[in-house]
Amino acid sequence: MSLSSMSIFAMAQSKMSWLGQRQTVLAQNIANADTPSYRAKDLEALDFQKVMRAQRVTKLAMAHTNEGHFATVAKTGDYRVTRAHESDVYEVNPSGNAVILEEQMIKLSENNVQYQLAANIYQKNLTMLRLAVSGGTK
Amino acid sequence: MDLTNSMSISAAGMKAQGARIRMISENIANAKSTGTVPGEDPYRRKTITFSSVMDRDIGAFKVEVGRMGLDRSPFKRAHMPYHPMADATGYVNMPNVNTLIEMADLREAQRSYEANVSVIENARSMLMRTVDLLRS
Repeated sequence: MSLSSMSIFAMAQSKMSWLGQRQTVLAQNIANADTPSYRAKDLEALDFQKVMRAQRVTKLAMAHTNEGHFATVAKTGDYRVTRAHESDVYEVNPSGNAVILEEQMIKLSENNVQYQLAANIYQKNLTMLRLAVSGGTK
Repeated sequence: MDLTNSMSISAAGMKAQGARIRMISENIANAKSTGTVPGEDPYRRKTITFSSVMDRDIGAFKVEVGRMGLDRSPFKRAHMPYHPMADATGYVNMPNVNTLIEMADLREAQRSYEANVSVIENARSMLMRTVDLLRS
């Protein structure tokens, strides 16, 4: 049994992978903060229902009976990158750049906080498992 | 991996802003550089362009320094008849560098550079937190 077969670990994991990908998108926005005609991007929001559904539906994997068979492991979610809409942008430079550094910094720190949260959830559950294994005696 | 990718994107941003700061300091340093013989053109202000380039390895847009250009605006003319580089009418061609504009540009570059630094610090703390899961 792997840890990720427990839904709480799998959920923390998918949250962390989403946050990691979002960090890349935000870094990209900030690196391009002075590039002409660049518009800020973001990752599509993590949908709670979708995550729950993914946890509930038990996927039946095809059996591997031959080395030549394709791997049927479920692909880890790649999230869609969305570009800010024209109406959401409230400031555009004369060069056509529409990255607001302050907004990006807020998103960045929010990302960091959520990552700490997911990591803490992961760790707490790990500690609980360890407690169960040790039977309460240290 | 995502977090290390984000660090390399920010490093590219810092490199581009660094090149911009270098060019600005070149402009400021040469703000009073006239030609070497009377009537020769003085130093011409340089400009820089950025472009976002898709990095296929990491699947994200990094920033790169594009062409370095020259500012084609007219030179400033100063009336200094005793200047060694003055022409027959007593005028000297001075560079088309406006120090105020350069300083404003420098501030902007510095601000963007610092933003990139904080992205790296942020990614680093996330990475360290992940490593900390091993301890407990």
